Amino acid sequence: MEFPDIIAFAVPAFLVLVLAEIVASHVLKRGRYEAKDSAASLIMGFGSELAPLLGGGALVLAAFMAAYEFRLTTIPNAWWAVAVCFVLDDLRYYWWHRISHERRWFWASHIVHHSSQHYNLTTALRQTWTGQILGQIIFRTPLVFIGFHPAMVFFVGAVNLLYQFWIHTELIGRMGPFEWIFNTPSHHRVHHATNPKYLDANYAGTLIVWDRMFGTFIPEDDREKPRYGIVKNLGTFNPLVISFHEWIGIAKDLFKSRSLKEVIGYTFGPPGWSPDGSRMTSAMIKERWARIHADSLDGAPAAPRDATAAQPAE
Amino acid sequence: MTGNLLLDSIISLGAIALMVAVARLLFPPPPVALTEAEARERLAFDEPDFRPVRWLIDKDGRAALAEGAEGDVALVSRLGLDLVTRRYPAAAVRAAEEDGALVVRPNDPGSRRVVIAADGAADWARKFSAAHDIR
Repeated sequence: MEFPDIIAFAVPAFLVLVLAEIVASHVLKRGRYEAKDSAASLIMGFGSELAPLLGGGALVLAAFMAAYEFRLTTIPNAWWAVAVCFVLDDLRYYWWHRISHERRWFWASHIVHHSSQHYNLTTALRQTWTGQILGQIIFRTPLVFIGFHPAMVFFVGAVNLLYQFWIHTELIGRMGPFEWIFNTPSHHRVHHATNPKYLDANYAGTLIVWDRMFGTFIPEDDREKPRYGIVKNLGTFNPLVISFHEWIGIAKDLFKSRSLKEVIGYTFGPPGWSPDGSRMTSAMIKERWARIHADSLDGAPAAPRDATAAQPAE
Repeated sequence: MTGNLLLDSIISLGAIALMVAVARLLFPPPPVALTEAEARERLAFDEPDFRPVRWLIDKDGRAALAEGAEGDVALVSRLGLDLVTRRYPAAAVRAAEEDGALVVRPNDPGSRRVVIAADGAADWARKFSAAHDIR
């Protein structure tokens, strides 16, 4: 069984669909585009295709080949195996994606994809230049070790990535029963939103059932329009800053660390972790939102900020 | 794609230029100057427990600075169609007066230098300098 390089085939389709979305957004007065933001996203996507050629791609391939040499069993290259591999890879994607939001080391790469305040098809292509090595090896090698051929694992990963392209749009509303099982634009808008009630939700790649199973599913609320981006949005469209700012932030924090605990916290703690609680993790942001909402409901003024009293969520 | 890295890269860059040009054509950037109302609205979303009591707003609408009721400071700056906010203790703000404008230099790697040309910039610069000295 041959596994085609479907990403290469899809590139012309990306172009046509992005152009179609720009025109449709203009005509329908729905969705937003901004040339500088789109340029930044597209340059990030272009760079993410070149970055693995610097050696990371070869490392991943080497890890896959080594794992396949010591595989537990040999799974044939049959259609049913592709289906099973796809579902397992989608489960792998859910956990990789969730950890990419919950641990700063992985977030430093993944933050790139969330760094636009826009949500359109070019946002789908805003991809990291730095996250293809460790995450791939840790999370995908087990599939090869089980016995799926590396080419099949690469193929289903590419199918998953392709699936996620079209869900980055504001032009498509709700999709009825399809949303029960599959990730959709509505579900993924929630994932990209910075509204406190939407934070840390909908990590799915293709199948939203993983979020429903693991308790991270939040439906889009028509009364609360998503505001996209990151909780501390970037002040620039510069691709170099987009790509490396969180890594630089980690380096600066490590430089001023005073203990091993701080080193570990700054590197592998949740994004926003700080030893004195002076920064805010998403758990703290949600807690603040709940507190202010509760105060508002009581008719009392909002409580003053007391970040040092709050503990970073683990 | 062709399988030739150089040729594929040139084609990709051409496609990127086309997409950006069409976006620019159909969504020309409007001249959006930041207003206090807009800055307030954004701050209420990003920092809901920040209570601004005093504002310094750039004459050209590029950015605004707000002093909070608890002595902290919020910076709101424009990035294209959108706004970017940061909140600091007053002593952590790195700012100075240059040619009648307040120049704020945030020290986080995702921010850039922000210039706020407005009456009173020198007063704000002195205040930050004093807060910094106290620290």
